[in-house]
Amino acid sequence: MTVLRTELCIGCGVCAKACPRSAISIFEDAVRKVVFQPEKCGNCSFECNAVCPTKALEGKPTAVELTFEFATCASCGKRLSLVKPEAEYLAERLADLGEDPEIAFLCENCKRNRLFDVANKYEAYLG
Amino acid sequence: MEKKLFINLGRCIACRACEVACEKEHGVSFISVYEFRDIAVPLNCRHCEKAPCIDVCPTKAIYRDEDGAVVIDESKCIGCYMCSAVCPYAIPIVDPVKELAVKCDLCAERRKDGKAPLCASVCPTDAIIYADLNEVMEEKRRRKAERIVEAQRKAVETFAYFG
Repeated sequence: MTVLRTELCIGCGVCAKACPRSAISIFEDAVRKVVFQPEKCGNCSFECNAVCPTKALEGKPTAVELTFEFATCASCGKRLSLVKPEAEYLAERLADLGEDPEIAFLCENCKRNRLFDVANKYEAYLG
Repeated sequence: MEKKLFINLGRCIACRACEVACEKEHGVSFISVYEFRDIAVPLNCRHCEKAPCIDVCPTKAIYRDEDGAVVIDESKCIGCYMCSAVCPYAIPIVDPVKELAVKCDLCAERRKDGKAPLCASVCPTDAIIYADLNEVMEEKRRRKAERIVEAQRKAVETFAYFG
């Protein structure tokens, strides 16, 4: 059986990193391309299926090339290392945990700048 | 009772002894001190009770060990950095050699020998301490008691002066 539910794929590229035979590859320039090449598939224990966070893969993937746009930092507008659907997926997971979903859309620097508020609140709390 | 890393921002003097000690122990510093106008924040992994990194890791490489520390299993990590993306403090960093996510493990090696994490051991002002909550409260009570004694002594001196 070969299934790849493209509507579920968030373009995180975890499958490409887990694949022992490089049948899935990522290309990044202005956009991120995830290329599935099932003809390269061989003896494996379907690592890609196991790691896919949205269960978009079942068995061998279908031959397809998906393009994803990069997400940008909600605070400073810098390009993130995440693509849009990936950041949205992570924001959903954060919301489920009761955390601030905004975190998924912030760059490292802006996350650390949030500390300033935390530090001030802490001081106010201590009096 | 489970020991935790307590950080008192008011006591940190930004000497960066923790950073140096951490780098000596792990090769990279997993704790960094950020200085703001009137306060310094020593920041390392908070080992969150509801840790989003554990929840989100696609290979289940991040787990909580018996001391409650959130630890990355190097053999399972594939370097997707989703943990870093969901971390409120962007704690997991890229190991330049292995290209995997690495972060504070509360000095797992030292904890095996029953020692405290190195940052807590070296902190000269006790801004970072490794203790359980009861120990922290005990310390707070002792300090309050000392203040009461001090105030009492002052009162006695004042009375003695004015007769």
